[in-house]
Amino acid sequence: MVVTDSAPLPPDHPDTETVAALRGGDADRFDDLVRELTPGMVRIARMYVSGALAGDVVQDTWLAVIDAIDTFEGRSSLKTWIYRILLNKVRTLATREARAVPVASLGADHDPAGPRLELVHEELGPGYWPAPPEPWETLGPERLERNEILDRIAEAIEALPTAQREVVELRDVQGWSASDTAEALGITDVNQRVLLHRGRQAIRKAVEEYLRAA
Amino acid sequence: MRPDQPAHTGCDIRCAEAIELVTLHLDDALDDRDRRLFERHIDACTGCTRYVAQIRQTIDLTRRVLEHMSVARHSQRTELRAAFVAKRRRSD
Repeated sequence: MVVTDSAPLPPDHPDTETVAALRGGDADRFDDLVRELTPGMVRIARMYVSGALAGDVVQDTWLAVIDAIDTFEGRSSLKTWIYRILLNKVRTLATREARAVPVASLGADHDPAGPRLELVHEELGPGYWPAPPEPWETLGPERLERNEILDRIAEAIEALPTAQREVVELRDVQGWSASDTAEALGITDVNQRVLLHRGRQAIRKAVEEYLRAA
Repeated sequence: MRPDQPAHTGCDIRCAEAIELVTLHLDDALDDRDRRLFERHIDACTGCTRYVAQIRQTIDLTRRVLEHMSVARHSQRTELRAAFVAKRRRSD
């Protein structure tokens, strides 16, 4: 099949082959992409709207992708482009739905940077560990091996302010690069890193508390 | 070095500053000056060495959260596949 009206991709674009397959009507490739990306997309959508609605908006996103794949110009990765469509849709929806305020933004933590570590050493003074953190292998070795720890981490992620949560989702849960993450969320690299830093600190703290309770 | 009292000999930054550089360090995005300051601090500090290890562990554990996610519902995928086939056929 020859598709004539499609936007050309830059040479060496990593998604050239996938985009050509989709434009050529390869339903198996489309299905593979839906399988690969949908779980992560639903997780992002759930930050803004309830479960059922999140599924709907992801479905809408895929329909938009089907319609718009010919216009994809390859200025970002295909995945980043799809996530931008999703975020546009879900953020618009969330502002329309009064009850669909991002859940995490209702938390007590109004400091977008999040809590900082309190470091004061008796002799060395402020800015130094009072004592080195205890290694997790000795703090709670059995708990470290349990799947329950993943539930605690999921809870800790849900409790993060939305901006931190989005970055942690993409970088650490879904394994995205720093640049793809910043691009999809429409934030700077520096901002991306600050949010990630605070998010990881909060999750580390939650893990430590869980292990300590052993 | 006693584990409860890091010597910090030759360090130009404190633990608080070193910790702020950890995310850049893990992304391999420190400039030369900061990399030197960071590495010199880590070499001398048990607390920050353990902290970096724990952030790495945090990242590894967080990555496993997704393994427990279900794939897209079958019915949803069937519907999307039908929409895809219908659209791409029209554009022939």
